[in-house]
Amino acid sequence: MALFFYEERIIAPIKAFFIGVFAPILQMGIILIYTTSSPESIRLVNEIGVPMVLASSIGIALFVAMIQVALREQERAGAVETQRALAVAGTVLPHLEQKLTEESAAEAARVLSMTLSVDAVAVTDMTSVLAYTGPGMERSRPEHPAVSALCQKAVRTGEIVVAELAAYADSSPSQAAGGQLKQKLTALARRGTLEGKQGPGAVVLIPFQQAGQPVGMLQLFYRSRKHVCASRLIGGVVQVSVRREGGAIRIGVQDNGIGIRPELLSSLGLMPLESGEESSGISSTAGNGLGVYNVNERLIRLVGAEAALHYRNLPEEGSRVEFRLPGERREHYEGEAYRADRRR
Amino acid sequence: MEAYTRVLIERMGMLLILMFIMTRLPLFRMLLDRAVTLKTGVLYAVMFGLIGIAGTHAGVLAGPEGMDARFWIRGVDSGR
Repeated sequence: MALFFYEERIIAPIKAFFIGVFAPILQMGIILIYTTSSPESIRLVNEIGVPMVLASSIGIALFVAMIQVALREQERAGAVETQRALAVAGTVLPHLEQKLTEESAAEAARVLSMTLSVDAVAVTDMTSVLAYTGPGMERSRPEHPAVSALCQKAVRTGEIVVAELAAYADSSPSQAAGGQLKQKLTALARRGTLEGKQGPGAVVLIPFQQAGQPVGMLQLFYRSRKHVCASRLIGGVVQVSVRREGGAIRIGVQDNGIGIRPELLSSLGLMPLESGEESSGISSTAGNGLGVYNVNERLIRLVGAEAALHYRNLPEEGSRVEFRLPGERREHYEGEAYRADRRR
Repeated sequence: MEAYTRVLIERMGMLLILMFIMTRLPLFRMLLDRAVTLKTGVLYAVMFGLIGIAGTHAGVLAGPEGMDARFWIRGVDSGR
């Protein structure tokens, strides 16, 4: 009997069903015993016995099933987050577990900043900042472990510290003190830290160790969700326009953001940007210009040189991208497309 | 007997709808998430006890003169 109940915290609905069958039967039995089986009570039990057993058993089974569904829902939400954290840890760990050099640190920081919703990632060893990716380097320098008391504490105890940049002293060490980065990331995911629920300016410090020795620290900076938001917090507008111009169609995309840096205007779309520009540029912080380069190349190859993308900054604010498609000679266009596909 | 079955299943459905709404409430969800301790056990006992009492009151009164299907049972004067 004890085994029947002990196995899981929420019992299976089918078990609950049987429990629900036995309770009213017991009740009927007690009625019959206490009334010494008078003809009235026998009639009563005949009347209400079956309905009570049915109602209570089905009711209890459905109730238990409902609670199970509610619990499972929550577990699933947690599992998704954990899965994500494990995936991130899996991609980052190889870079951090080998000897910590500037290259491996840079690679780890790049992967982390791409997969997480953080704005900047810094990797440090015990003496200096090895790698830092993300915008706004000038706004807040990542500190290397020796500088801030909080960083020192994080490295010494091996605990994750979540700190608000505004009030650096306001920290809450987490329970996960294991040496493994994987465990830590998982714990972080459980607490929803990776989800970017931190207020703007929050910093998460994740120290890591090799062979028991603290070797460095990972810093995740939360400032805003996307670089679009960074350049313009509210009231961003993207306009897409399609216009017929004689025989051609002109398609334009326009925003009211901070525009494109003038020195990039000439090269944007014609060639992928240099990697040096990718981290420092505000207008292209997340990418390296490869996307627009590919689109441009495709347009030129499929349609012709006149369909190339044209970038310009608008006089008041924002930027505009346009290209023209020749509307006539559709069969020619398809033929070109076919040839272009064959070439590849 | 059929009358009793119909009424009881109806009442059960209503209680279940109520409970379903309860599982959507954050307060109730919080209660479900806790680790099993003595305090949680007591809380569970109180909670499910209240649900059981509600279940009893949502039942119908059966007597020699037939069924009294008022929704909320106030009290029982003599016997069942």
